[in-house]
Amino acid sequence: MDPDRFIELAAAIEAEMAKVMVGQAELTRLVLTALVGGGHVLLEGVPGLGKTVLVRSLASALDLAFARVQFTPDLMPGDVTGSAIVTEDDSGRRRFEFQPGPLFTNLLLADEINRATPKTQSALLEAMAEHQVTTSDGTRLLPSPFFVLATQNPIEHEGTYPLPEAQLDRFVFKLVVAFPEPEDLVAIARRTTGGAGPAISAVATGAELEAMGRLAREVPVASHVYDRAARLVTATHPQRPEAPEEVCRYVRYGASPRGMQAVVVAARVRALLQGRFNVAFEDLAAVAAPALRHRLFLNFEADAAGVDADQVLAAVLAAVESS
Amino acid sequence: MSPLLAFLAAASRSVRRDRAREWAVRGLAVAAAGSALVQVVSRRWPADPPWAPLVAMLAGGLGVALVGFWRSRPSLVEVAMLADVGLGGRERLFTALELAGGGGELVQRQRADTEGWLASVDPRRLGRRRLPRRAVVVALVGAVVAGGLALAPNGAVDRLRAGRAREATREAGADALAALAAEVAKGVVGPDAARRRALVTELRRAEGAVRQAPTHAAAVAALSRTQATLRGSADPTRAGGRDAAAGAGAELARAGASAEAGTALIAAGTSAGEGLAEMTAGSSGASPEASAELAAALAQAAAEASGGPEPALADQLGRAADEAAAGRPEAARAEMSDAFRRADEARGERAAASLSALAASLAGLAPPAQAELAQALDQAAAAAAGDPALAAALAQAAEQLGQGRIADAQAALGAAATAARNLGADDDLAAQMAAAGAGIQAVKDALLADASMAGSGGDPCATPPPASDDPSLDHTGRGGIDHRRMHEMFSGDAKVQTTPRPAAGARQACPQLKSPAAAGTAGLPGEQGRGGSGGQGSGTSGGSGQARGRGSGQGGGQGHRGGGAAGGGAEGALGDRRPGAPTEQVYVPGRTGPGRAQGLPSGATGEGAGAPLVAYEQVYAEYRAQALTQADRQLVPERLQGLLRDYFGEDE
Repeated sequence: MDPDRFIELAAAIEAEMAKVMVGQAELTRLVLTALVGGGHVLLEGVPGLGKTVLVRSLASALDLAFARVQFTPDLMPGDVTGSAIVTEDDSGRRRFEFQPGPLFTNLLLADEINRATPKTQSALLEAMAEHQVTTSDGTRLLPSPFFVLATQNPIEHEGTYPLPEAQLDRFVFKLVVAFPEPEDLVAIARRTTGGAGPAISAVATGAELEAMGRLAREVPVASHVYDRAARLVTATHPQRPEAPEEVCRYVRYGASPRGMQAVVVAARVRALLQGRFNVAFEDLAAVAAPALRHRLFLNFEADAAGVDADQVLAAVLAAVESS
Repeated sequence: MSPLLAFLAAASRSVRRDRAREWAVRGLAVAAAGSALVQVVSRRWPADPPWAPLVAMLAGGLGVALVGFWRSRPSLVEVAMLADVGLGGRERLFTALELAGGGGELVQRQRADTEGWLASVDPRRLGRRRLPRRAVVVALVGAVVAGGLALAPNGAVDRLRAGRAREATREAGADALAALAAEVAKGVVGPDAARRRALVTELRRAEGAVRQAPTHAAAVAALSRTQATLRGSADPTRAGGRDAAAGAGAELARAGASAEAGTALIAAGTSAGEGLAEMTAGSSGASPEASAELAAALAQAAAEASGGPEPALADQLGRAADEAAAGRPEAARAEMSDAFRRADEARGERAAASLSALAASLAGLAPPAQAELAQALDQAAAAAAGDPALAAALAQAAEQLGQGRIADAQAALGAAATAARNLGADDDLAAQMAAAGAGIQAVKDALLADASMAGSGGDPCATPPPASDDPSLDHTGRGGIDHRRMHEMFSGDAKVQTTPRPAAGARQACPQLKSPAAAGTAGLPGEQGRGGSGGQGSGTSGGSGQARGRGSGQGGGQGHRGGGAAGGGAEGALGDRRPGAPTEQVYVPGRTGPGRAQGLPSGATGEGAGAPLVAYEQVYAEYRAQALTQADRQLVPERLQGLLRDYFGEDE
């Protein structure tokens, strides 16, 4: 795939998405960035912000198979991955046959993933990391491309199970879905409360999406940009000398090397989406928060002071830029 | 050159200009701050010249600027980074520079994208940065402080310069002493070698003392101690012998039969070498000025001697003058010393020949002439007390002649001739000692004059500068020729030779230096009062300054309260340099006493001729009473009162 086709496809996808998603252009761009980079996305937002619509629309624009799983406390791992059931053939012989679960799709919407038990949540670990599922009768590869877009409600904490760090680390981005502006609400109302809503056309295939990802990984990154990204990640560790005061005070654990990978890949995609052919410092700054906010583990003092990961990351960016 | 490199080259020039301005300001800040600090510090520890540390600070600031600029020269990579940040390149330039040799579609697209962007950007915009504010403030404040302090007067610099000037004066004096020592050291041979070495040692010790002296007063004190040491080591018989010969010659010259012998004996009693050595002592050193002074003195001496009875001396003095004029003062002094040695020997020979001729003429004298001659011989014997051999011979001749024993009188005159011949023995050491003494005195005078000019402010003891450029007015041999004395020494005019002269360097010391050793100018033993009349001096041909040690060198310490033997310790007009023996004759204006002017030939027109002399003991009480009364009435400056009381021993 050539860069012009890349930019063309990306623009087409965003245009299709914009038919349905109002006021979420940046969110759409970031979701697309993650998907092109081959990563999974965790969407956090209150109910009714269009998280499910976003994923469905994306699936439609990319002509990808879509599955949705509503995570509840009684959801079993087998409900997600699939399980063996007893079937009877024509001759009446009974045997166990694996019935694939909703996991076997291109685009999986894991709704309210924090409602499921850790046992069920962990069922996604192998699938998200290795794109395969291990069942009683062997390992089955998941379709390609395979993306998990999970959602979680930041308000309700009763009956929820926070995602473990290992699973959080599997998401490339954690995106916070902001409440729409009044004018956006007006637009939403006009579009969705009238007649039939806009239809989304498939403008790209999964294969093209994968090709876009391969092209994006070829975007040149200068050595000092790599250095900047590395300093960005190391500065999130409180024991590092380059860590700013906020990190030393509020952070318990900093970002992993997977966070560095996420930042660089996302920066490459972003640069190409903007029509540039090299990664710039601003690309790193733009993707730092989505890529690292869920990889910082804050301490009780941050909780008590009301300091969130985005504030800490802002201090980290400022420190890195000034150094 | 690719567009990328061309752009980077242009951007690099902009960056270098920018950094040059930045480091220039920093250099100025360093120079200004350093200069201000130097100005503050110089108020306590001054530097001379004052501009030297400021120049150093400016050089330092320039060095800081140059080194800083050199070290901050940007590489192409750094320029690319700066351009990406400063011109909004979004890391295009750095990436393109890093991937310059790479391939691949995206790399090529990146390079093309970069070149397209370069076309829209002016690289000169990269260097327009503001100057470092802190450096600008420091430079301005430092310049104001440094400039203000530089324009304000700095008393510390003046004090430093005054101190250095004084040090230079002491160094010059020490150099003069070193030159004297070097001259004396050349002649350390012969029977007086040990004494010459002692003289050299003393001169070098004095040189070292002057160099290391912290103040002029300490240097003058050291020189005075050296003078006292030299007086103690002087051979009293030399000067005494000459005085005796001159005195005896003066007596003999009264009588018609012995006039010629008397004149020759007077000449033998005069060491022209000592006189000229004293006169030219201030010209020691190898400087062109010193050589010129020495040449002038020698030329004058040669001119005077050419019309006298010693043409060979004139020739040698002329050669010595030529050597000095050619810038070879050492050769000139060697020639001069040899000339005087020969002249002294010749004079002695002539005196001996004259006495021998007198002896031969005894038989042909009429009885009245014999009686007159006998009386003259008797008086000459009394005047020759300083030379026992001459005195005894003359006395014997007088007695024998008075008794009519011509042969015995002739034999006695022969012995007197022998004694007169011995006067011409090598007297170079005495001349050198006189020259050394004069040289030391010259250095002392210079230090005293410098101290007076530095701190007198109208003090009556301050040494005034010469009133005229007429060198003949300078009797001290420093920078001038005493033409009258020169004529006395070399023309052969015996009458004029009897004119007393002031001792070399004999001037009233300024007691404000508060050093008893610095007070007064003790005449050295070698200094000769010529057939002294009263004038200043103690009578018998030994007058060498006021109440000084006699020319015979016996003045030191004899009968003095508190005085050391041989003049050691305090010297000069005060302290133990008061007149020696109670019977020593001193001149008292307006007083007629039993003392008579001695040593004056008939018809002498010397200065002070006929002035009465009285014994010092007769007037001491009056001196003491008057002085103490004046001191009690505060009629004497306060700083002199202590000296007065110390001199006259008020507590005694």
